[in-house]
Amino acid sequence: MLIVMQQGPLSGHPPLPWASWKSSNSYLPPGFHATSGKESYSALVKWLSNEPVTTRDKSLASYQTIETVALSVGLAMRDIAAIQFQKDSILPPHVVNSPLQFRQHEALSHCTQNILRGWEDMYVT
Amino acid sequence: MSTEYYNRLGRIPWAKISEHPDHFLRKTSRPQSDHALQEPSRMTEAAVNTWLEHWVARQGRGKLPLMLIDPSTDPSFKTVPGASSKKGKKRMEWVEPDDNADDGVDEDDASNGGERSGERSASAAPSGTYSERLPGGPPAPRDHAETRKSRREFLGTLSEDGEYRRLLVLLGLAKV
Repeated sequence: MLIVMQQGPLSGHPPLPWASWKSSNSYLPPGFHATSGKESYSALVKWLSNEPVTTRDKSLASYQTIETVALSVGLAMRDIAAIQFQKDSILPPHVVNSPLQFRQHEALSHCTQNILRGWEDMYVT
Repeated sequence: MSTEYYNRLGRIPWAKISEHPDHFLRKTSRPQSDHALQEPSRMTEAAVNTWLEHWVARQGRGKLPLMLIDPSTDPSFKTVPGASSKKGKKRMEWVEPDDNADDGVDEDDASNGGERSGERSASAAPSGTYSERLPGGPPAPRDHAETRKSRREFLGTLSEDGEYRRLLVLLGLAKV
């Protein structure tokens, strides 16, 4: 309830803790690569399902909000791509051992597509 | 050397397969070609055809087209770089070939064992240790947080995914 009232720029649904410009991590934390939890991939997908780029009055969210959405999706995609395409020797163990697969990358892309629907006809070509 | 490859539900370590195909595939399963086996969407049509044609040709000769190397039965695979970091996670599950008759007795596999052993002994170091800032790792958000322009540039480096790129377009439309 407290979270809902503290809306800030993200209209009632706060982003995942790691989606911050203050983060100095090269890769997302172990919580993202866990199978569940408030920092996990699943939590990100759930957050995106709330269509964070849209405000309650169905208008486009603020620049800061969209920037945070892009940061969330982008960092997640970067980590998942690294699992597939980077050498393990340069990845932290929790990324090497991540249960995430490339299909999660595809699912994330699909989530992004969903939150863009409605806007693409007006703006995105 | 990853063991996830042998888990039916695990990821396929394409980068490692591309770098050390001899660690994953028997020599006879590999075409004599410069085309590396990679994540299929990253391969050229010619490369895909080279691999497929090799496997189809083997199949036509009554051979198993693709044979994976089983680290669980190979003594030289006992020390698997990175395995110690798995902390009890049971991720390894060897998927048996569909026919044992062809496994390990193929025409030129007799010499293949020595080749693989030699390369494995000189293989890469195990996985790095996690820290907030990894040497050689990708940049962190904080590195580019100063201005809107630098943040936008950073976001542009994160993924080439088409839907993600479309999401970035919205940045140009939103109210600051």
